[in-house]
This record gives sequence, structure tokens and C-alpha cells, in this order.
Amino acid sequence: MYIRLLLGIMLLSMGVFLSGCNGARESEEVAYIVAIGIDKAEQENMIKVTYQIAKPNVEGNKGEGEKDTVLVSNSAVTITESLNLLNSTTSLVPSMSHVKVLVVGQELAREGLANFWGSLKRYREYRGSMFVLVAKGTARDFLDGNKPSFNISASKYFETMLDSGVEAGYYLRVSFHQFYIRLKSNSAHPYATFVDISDLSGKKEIATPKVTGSKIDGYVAGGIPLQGGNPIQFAGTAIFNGDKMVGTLSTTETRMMAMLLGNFNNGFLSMEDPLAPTKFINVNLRLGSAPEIKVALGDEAPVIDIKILLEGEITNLPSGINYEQESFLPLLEQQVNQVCHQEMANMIHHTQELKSDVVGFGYYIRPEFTNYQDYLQYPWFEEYSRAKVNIIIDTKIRRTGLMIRTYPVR
Amino acid sequence: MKKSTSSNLITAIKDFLVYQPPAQPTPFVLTETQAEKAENEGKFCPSAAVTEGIRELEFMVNYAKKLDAFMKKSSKELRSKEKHEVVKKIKAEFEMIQTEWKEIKKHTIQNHSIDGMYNNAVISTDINENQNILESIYQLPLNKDVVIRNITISDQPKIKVLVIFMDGLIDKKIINMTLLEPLMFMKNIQENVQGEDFISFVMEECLPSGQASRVGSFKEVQQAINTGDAVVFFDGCGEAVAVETKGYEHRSIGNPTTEQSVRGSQNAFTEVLRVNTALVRTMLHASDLVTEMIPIGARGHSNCAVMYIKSITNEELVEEVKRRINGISTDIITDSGVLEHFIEDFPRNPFPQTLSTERPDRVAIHLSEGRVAIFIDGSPFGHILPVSFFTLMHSSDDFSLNLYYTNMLRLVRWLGALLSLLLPSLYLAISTFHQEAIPTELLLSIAAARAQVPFPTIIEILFMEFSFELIREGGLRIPGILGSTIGIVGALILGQTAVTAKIVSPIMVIVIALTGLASYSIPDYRLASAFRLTRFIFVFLAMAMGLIGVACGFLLFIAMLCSLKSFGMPYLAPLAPKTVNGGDTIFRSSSYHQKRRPDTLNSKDDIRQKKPSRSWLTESSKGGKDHE
Repeated sequence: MYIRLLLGIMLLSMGVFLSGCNGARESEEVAYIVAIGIDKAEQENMIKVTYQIAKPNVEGNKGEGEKDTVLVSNSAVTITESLNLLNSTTSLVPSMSHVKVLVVGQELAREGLANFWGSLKRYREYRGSMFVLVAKGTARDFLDGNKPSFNISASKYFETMLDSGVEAGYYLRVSFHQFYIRLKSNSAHPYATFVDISDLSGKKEIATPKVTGSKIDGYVAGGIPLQGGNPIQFAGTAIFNGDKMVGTLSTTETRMMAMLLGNFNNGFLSMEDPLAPTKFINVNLRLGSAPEIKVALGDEAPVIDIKILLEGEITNLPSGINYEQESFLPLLEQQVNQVCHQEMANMIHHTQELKSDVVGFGYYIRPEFTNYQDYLQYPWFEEYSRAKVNIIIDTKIRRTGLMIRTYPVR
Repeated sequence: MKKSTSSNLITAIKDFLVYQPPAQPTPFVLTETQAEKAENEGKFCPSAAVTEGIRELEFMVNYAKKLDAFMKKSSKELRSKEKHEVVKKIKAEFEMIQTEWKEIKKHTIQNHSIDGMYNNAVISTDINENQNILESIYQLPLNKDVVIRNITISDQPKIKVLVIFMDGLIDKKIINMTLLEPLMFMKNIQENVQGEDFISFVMEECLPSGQASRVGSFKEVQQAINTGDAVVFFDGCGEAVAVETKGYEHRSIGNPTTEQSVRGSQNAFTEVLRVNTALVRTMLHASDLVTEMIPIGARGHSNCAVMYIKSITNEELVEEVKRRINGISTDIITDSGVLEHFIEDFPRNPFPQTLSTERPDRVAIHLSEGRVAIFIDGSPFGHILPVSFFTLMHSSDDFSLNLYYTNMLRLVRWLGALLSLLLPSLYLAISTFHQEAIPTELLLSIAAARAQVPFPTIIEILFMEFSFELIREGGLRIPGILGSTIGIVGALILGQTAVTAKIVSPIMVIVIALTGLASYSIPDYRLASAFRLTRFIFVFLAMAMGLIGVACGFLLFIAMLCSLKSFGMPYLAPLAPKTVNGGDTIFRSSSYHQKRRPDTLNSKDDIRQKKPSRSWLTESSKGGKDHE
């Protein structure tokens, strides 16, 4: 009687323990890669892949100023081959499951990414949630130049850096999966966060000059006047046409794009005082509701109607004029409307010139077609550059900050 | 001659140098008994029953002699005297001798007891015969615990009386006041009082004792003597009287030690069965609360009390419990846990199928729900049955505290149970198979901590689990108050130094400590140990197959629980199978909302309280109004 039970248990345990999953790997036997950079290699048809590998921070073993990551670069024909080569240079087994960012050099991005994007997507170890960055120079220089000034690790740095993008709307985060979806879409083009290292000299490079009534210029990464701290900058957006990068949007343009995507959480706007143009006014803006976008086919070109509700709070009034009063408030709202309208029109015009529908207006034109086949027939990406754009911006200043009345400084 | 001297010398030197075993007395060796030897050799050996048989034969021979004497006497008298009166007298004597024969016949037809303890012997009318049997049973005069007192009562006629009791189990005062004194000062009895009438006369008129009962067989006599009663034999009576004279030392009622509660009653059961049943009765004053006594054990003769409320409890359940207890044949049971193993449905399963409690209030509550409680002499734990898995996760003061607070505590308890079952296996599975599921920072610090540990994670877990169990078991066995101190110090020092010596990683200490702590959040000690046992299976499954293994194991675990039954009641009721929710499963509802008794118990009366259980809410009060 017991022999059957015993035999059963023996067979079961043998089955489990001998044929069990042998993919187990102790946590200290694995090299955790936190960032991958991809550049064009010097050799023809090869890519240079840079791996940023985290060093487990053993207490007391870390010297002063010592980095907690190691940069390893190798050149290979494909990204998977590069992984094989990496295995030959590190004692630990490289693991991609903790990659936070994928940095692509601008040169390679402009040539096209389609070749290796598929292999990144297909292999299970790469996370769909890693963020995509385009570096103005090379990805290796960017990863090398990254010296987080606060005491946080490289992986934490990328996570918090990309999370905090919503605070100003000057750069947008995009995950690998989102990028991939847009790469395959016939209604929108992909975009990626634009990054660069600055030389910390404090000089500035304006990408898009300020519009009438505004006080702020648009920068792209590398152009922000910066001194001290971590030299790397996240600013602007790299926009793509298909898998090829075609240009960049500046910080102010990126903010308008965020409004159109419905991602705009929060951001200051500095503009001219409508009654005292030498002085400025600061308003903190956020989206009041999701943007209302309608795209119609139109007679000769598609017509895009955009309606955006902004809600604001006054944060600074140096002129001392009582904009808090009901009679003055519309003036202020008018000023915001005018600045945003102009910036948004410029931004859309810029993308039309580059033939890159990064906002994804293509999704909104779909209701115009009776079936999907008809839509496929329609050359949306060509038509987009000719589209007519009507923008209505409605601003409501809801709060006046912590002061209810202004007196001029005497 | 010279040669022999030298050889003598050599022998002397040899004797001096060569090791000689020291002279020792013959050592005592505990060898097998003759019976065992004979059994091993395949021979037949007469057992103790043979001596009983011999006694029986002697008894019969005595009877035959008596019969012979009677016949000779009657024939002589018939010849000599006048017929009428003599025939009457002989007839009476003959009837007496005939009844004696009937008894002997009945007695010889019955199966003989095998242990030589006269379990089937009936009390003889001859007091000397009875004394011989008692001396043989109790190994007198070797055994000093048993006292036999021979007295003579009543002047006309003189009756020989034998009182037997166990010294130490009785109260001497009670024996003197309620037994010896009234018997010795007994008034003369009428001559016509004979046999059975005599016993009832004595019980009615002369024994001022609360409990006195007639006993007819030596089995009953032994049971009475062994539990502290005194037995009185009268010459010429085929029965004896057992008088309650219990008066042994026992532990007084104390506080619960394994089921402490902040609120609720602070009484706990003790080792004496009668005290325990009384404690339940002090909580539950129901007239139809029945306590049935079932003796268990061929040698132990322990009493087992089965308690239930007649008007509520399902009769089939009571019958089944009694049937199972009656079906036990063993020599001795002193602990309720052992009794449980004899009667439960799945004794091989580590999960407890009864609720073991030392709190009378808990027993009372469960009895009122329609469950059965069993107690056994000598054990301070009562067992409540049938129970579900969920009952075991309840604690005694769940209903004394606020509803929401209790439910939060219950949530903590359930999470604790889950942690104690799965935490080490989940840690092992995730840290070796599914590293992507750990936040990068945490993973890096785990890797850093593990970098200098030479063993794989599974060895770390087993090592720490083993040390934890060692501390637990060792701490329990260290005598006296040292236990807890040494346990804590051992745990602290062992944990600290194991980490410093890089034998285990600090995170493993956290995992094991948390698991150990979590296992103590399970209120039932036996349930906690079952969880602790199952945990190791999960660890091995996690080692072999990662999360898949843990998931498969958990599925089997749930299936096992679903198949389990406690005295016919599904273990996971009322969840699987789904029955009417009584309002006290994982979380509890308000006491006044629990209108029905647990559905799965199929009690006779389903309704616990009438529909408006708070009728004062619908009545108007005499006080003022709020807004006045």
C-alpha cells in the first residue's frame, strides 16, 4: 500500500527536481545593465553599442567620487551580436531586464532605426517600459558625461529625471513600446526625448525665438545656458518621419505638443504685461480639460480644428496693476491666449514643414472614412503638411496666488 | 625446577602487563520476556488470562462443593424432619443457589478478558471470594496504595463488610464521616432484609453521601476505585456500593497561557474533567446542555466527556462522535490531542480538524452554535468539532473588540498566515528566477549583500530556517525562565554574527524573521505548525521551478484544503462549498446582525436571534429629544 505512495512521491520529486526549470541565477551572478547607448560605428554598416552596467554598491567599498556604474562599448553588426561580445568581456551574465533608457545617437537616428528596433522588441529581456532618448552627439558621450550631482544611482537618476518632465513640459518621456507603436502606425510619427551634454560655459543657443507677447525663448538640449551641476540636459523633442529622425522641437514647442497630447500637467508662462509691456507677468498654467481636436477632410486640404482649455494661477505681477480685478482679468487671459496660439501655430507649422505628424492628428481623421481600407488609401502623411489649422485657446485664470490684491512697489 | 620458576615469573609479568578486565558484578540486562521469546520461536505460551481461568475453575469447584453439601444436607433433613416447613426452607435455599448458578452461567458464556484483570468477573456473594479477587487485581499486599478495611456492622445478625479505596485519591475526612461512621453506628437491621434489598436499604438509610451507586462487576469496581471512589462489599450480597469520596490534589484554575486575550474571560481549563465541565456550565446555563461520559482505555480507564446542547446540535453528529469514541480500543489516553488522532477523519494531515482550546468561554460559544465539545480526564484542553479552516483563524476576543478593529486584526492575521506560508519561497523564486520583478535599487542592494556570501540562496534559506526552528525548539526546552532570554539572545547574536561572518545576507535575516513572526500571528498553534511544515515544500518547489512551482504548489494546497473534512463538515465551508454566509468567515459582521447559526453545522435550530434583535430601537424612549 505504502509502496505505491512512496513510488509516486519519488517519481514526482524526481520529475520536479531533475527536469525543473534551470534558469535560476543568483542575483549576484548577473550584471544589471541600466542603460544602453547605440551609435554608428566608425566601420561601415556596424553599430557601436554602449552598456552602462550597475555595480552593486557594497557598503564601504565605494571610494570618493567613484562611479557606481561601468561603461562598456563594443562594435558589432547587430545588437544581439553585440550582446554576445559583451558576454566575452564581463564575468557576470548580462541581463537586460533592468534597462531604464535606450539612448540613440543623432547620426544613427537620422539614418533610421528600423533595422534593430525589431530585435529589441522581440527579445523578452528588453523591457517595453524603457525610455527612448536621442542624444545630440553620440550616445556613448552622453552616458559618459552623465554625472548625477545628487547621491542617487544611475538607474534612479533616469527614472526620476524622466518622471519630473511633467513639471514644466519642456521634455516628454516616451517609452520604447510607445515609440514602437508609433513606428508601425499610419496615423502618427514617433518622437523621443532629446538630450545632450553641455560644456557648462553658460552660453546659450536659441532654437526658436520668442513670439510676440512672450518673454521666453525655446531651447533644445545643449543650448540651455548652464553652469555647474550635471552637464547633461533633457530638453526638446526629437521628431521622426518613419524611422528616421527629421528634426527637433524646442522646449516651448514641446510644451505646445504636450498640450495637444493632453500631457501638459503644469508649467510657468512668462509674458509681457499687456498694460506695461516692459514688465512681465508669470502665470502657472495647466490643461483644464483634454484637448478637443477635430480633423475634417476639407475641400482641397484637411482642416484641423483645435480647442484647448487652459487654467491658470497668477504667480507674479511686478507691474503692480490689479489684474485680480474682474475688469482686468480678461486682458490677462487674452494675453495668454495670444501667446499660446502663436506658439502652437508655429509648432504645428514646424512639424508640417518636416512632414512629421508627431501629435497624431491622423488618429482624429479616421472618423471621416467609412472603413479602414478607405483610410489606408488616403495619403495622410502627405496631406498633413498641407493641412489648414484653426486654433482656439481659452484661458481661465482661476486663482490669484496667495495675494488677492496688488500694490505697486514704492 | 629452574625452568618452572622462570616460567612462573614470565606468567607473573604477563599477568601484570596484559590487560585483564576488572572484576564486576553480573550486569543487569533487560531481556525479552518468556512470552516474547516463545512467540518468536513460534511456541504457544499461556497468557495472564490463564490464571484468571484457574481462578474461575476454583470458583466453580467451590460452587460444586457447596451444591454437594446442600444436596447432602437437604436429603438428610428430608429424611429426618417433618416435611412441610423443611420443604419451604429447602426451596428458598435452592432458589438462592439456582440464581447463583445462573450468574455463573452468564459469566462463563461471556468472553474472557485477556489481561487477567477480571474485567468480566461479577461480584460474588462470598466476601472472602471478593477479597481474594481484589487482592489479585491490586497485587496486595505488595501494592501499598490500595487500602482494604474489614469491618463488621450491625449486631443482629453480624455482617462482614469490606471497604476498599485508593489512598491519595480519596479524602480521608469524607471516608470517615460519610462512610465508616454511619456504617459502624448502623442500627440493627430486620432479618427479612436480604440480598438486593439489603443494598438499597443501606444506600437509602445509612450512606449520607452525595453520590452512591450499585456496582455489579469487577470492571466497574476497578473503575470506581481507580478514580477515587470507595467501594463497599457486604457479605452475602452479589453487588457492592461505590461511594463518591474523591479528594485528590489538582492545579487550581489559572489564566489561559496559550490563548491569552486582552479582553474576554481569563479562566482556563485545568486537568480535572469535572472542573472543566463545570467551567463550561458556569458560562452556559442551559438545562439541556448534556455531558455524556464515555470511558476510554483498557488500562487507563480515562473518562471522556462529550458535551452538546440537545436542542441545537445535530443528533447525527453527536451519534457519530460517540460512535467513534466508543470504537477506540487502546490501553491509555491521557491527552486530548491523542484522543483527537484516534477519532479525526484525516489523522495524517497536519491541518487540525478540531479546535483545541483552553478557554471555557470559547467552548460555550461554540456549543451554542451547535458544535460538540470533548474533554478527557487529565488534559486542560477541550476540543471543539467540527470546525472549518476559518474558525481556526479566529481569536477568542474577536467579538469583544470593535467591529472595524477586529476586522483589521483579522486582515493582519490572514496576511501573516500568507506570509508565513509563502514569503521564503516567493523571495527565493523572485530573486533567482524573476529578477525583473524587483525594483532595480533593491535588486542591486540584494546583489551587493549577497556578493560575499558563498552559498546559494536556497542554502541560506534552509540554514536560517533551521536556526530559527532550533531557537524555537531549544528555547522551549530550556528549563524555566532562562528559556525566553536565551532564545532572544541566541536569535540576536546568531542573526547578527551570521550576517557579519557573511554566511547569510542581511535581507535573508529580514525574510526569515518576518516569516517567523508572521507564523505566530496565526491564533491556533497547530495550524501555525501545519503552515510552518508546508512552507518547506513551497521552498523546494520555488527552488526547482520558480514562481510556476509556487503557483502549482498553492493550487495543490488549496485543493488539499478543499478535500479535507472535519467530522463530515467541509474544511473550507462556507466558502467551498458555498453556503449561507453567517457573517463570521474571514471578516465578521456586527453581533446583532448574525441572525443564523453556521449553515454548515445543520443544527436543529437555525435561528440564533429573532429578527429585530434590538427591539429597543423601534420603541420610543422616555428621555428628552436631541434638539430640545
